[in-house]
Amino acid sequence: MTISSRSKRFTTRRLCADAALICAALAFSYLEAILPVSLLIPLPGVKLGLANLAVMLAFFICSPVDAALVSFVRVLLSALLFGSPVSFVFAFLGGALAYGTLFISRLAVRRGKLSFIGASVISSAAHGCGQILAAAVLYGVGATFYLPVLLICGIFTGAAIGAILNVLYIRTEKIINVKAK
Amino acid sequence: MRTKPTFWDLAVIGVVLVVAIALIFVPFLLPSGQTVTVSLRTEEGTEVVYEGELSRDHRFELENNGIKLTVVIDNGEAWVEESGCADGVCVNSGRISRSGQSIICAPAGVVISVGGGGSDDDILAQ
Repeated sequence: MTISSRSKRFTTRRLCADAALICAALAFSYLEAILPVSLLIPLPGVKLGLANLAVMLAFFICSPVDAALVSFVRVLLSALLFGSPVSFVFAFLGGALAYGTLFISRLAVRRGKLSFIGASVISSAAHGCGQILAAAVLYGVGATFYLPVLLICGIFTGAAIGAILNVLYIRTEKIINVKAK
Repeated sequence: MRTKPTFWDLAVIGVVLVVAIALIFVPFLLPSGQTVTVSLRTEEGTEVVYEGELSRDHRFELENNGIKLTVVIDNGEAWVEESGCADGVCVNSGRISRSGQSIICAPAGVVISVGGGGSDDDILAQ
């Protein structure tokens, strides 16, 4: 069963997988928005990045196209539902850079050189760079002084997300079982 | 796909850590700031509400986008003492004193930046 005759590759199963991953990513974003994460990590701008779980699963289980879809829709919806135009710019640039680094780490992960921990740490670091880039664009270059904090926190949050992915990947791959043809 | 940690995972963590630590020392290479500028981002554009010497102690309140902030300049350092914003990013940003450093409160649209130039003019709008 297909969505349209022109996009035969976009099967209903794949569409459902993407929808489920978008829902998961959005739920994680909402959870991070309502939970007092600042009590656990009392540093501005630092989040656990749970939504990245869904994006990375989409990237490695489905395809980069699905991951781009999950990432963009998640950023857009979370900004509309519980964010602002400013938070959209921050999340978009952070998400775009994090997504871009997944292409770099994909080859290493597929060859078994890197596990999801390494890929996730790279992605977290890139997300921090993207957020600082957004802050620099909106408020001036003074924001770049905060980059080391985001990078160091990104090591811990990225490694934690990567460790979860190492466990989740095999089980989720069996459930989703979708590959772009 | 490999789902067990590898040596290269540690290498990646090491590289990011080294870069982060190196970047921590960048502000210390910069000269001490001379002036502090507080500006507001509004729909009309950017409005400078305070500009003065960092050595001149000062304390004032600002309000923008319905959020009140208390800015303190004391002993060559500037910081946000109190803020009505939800996340408290500006308060947690700590104190700034080096040229080029800044504190940003995105919800209030307030930017406090330290510059290297000298200025004797104090402009306090509020």
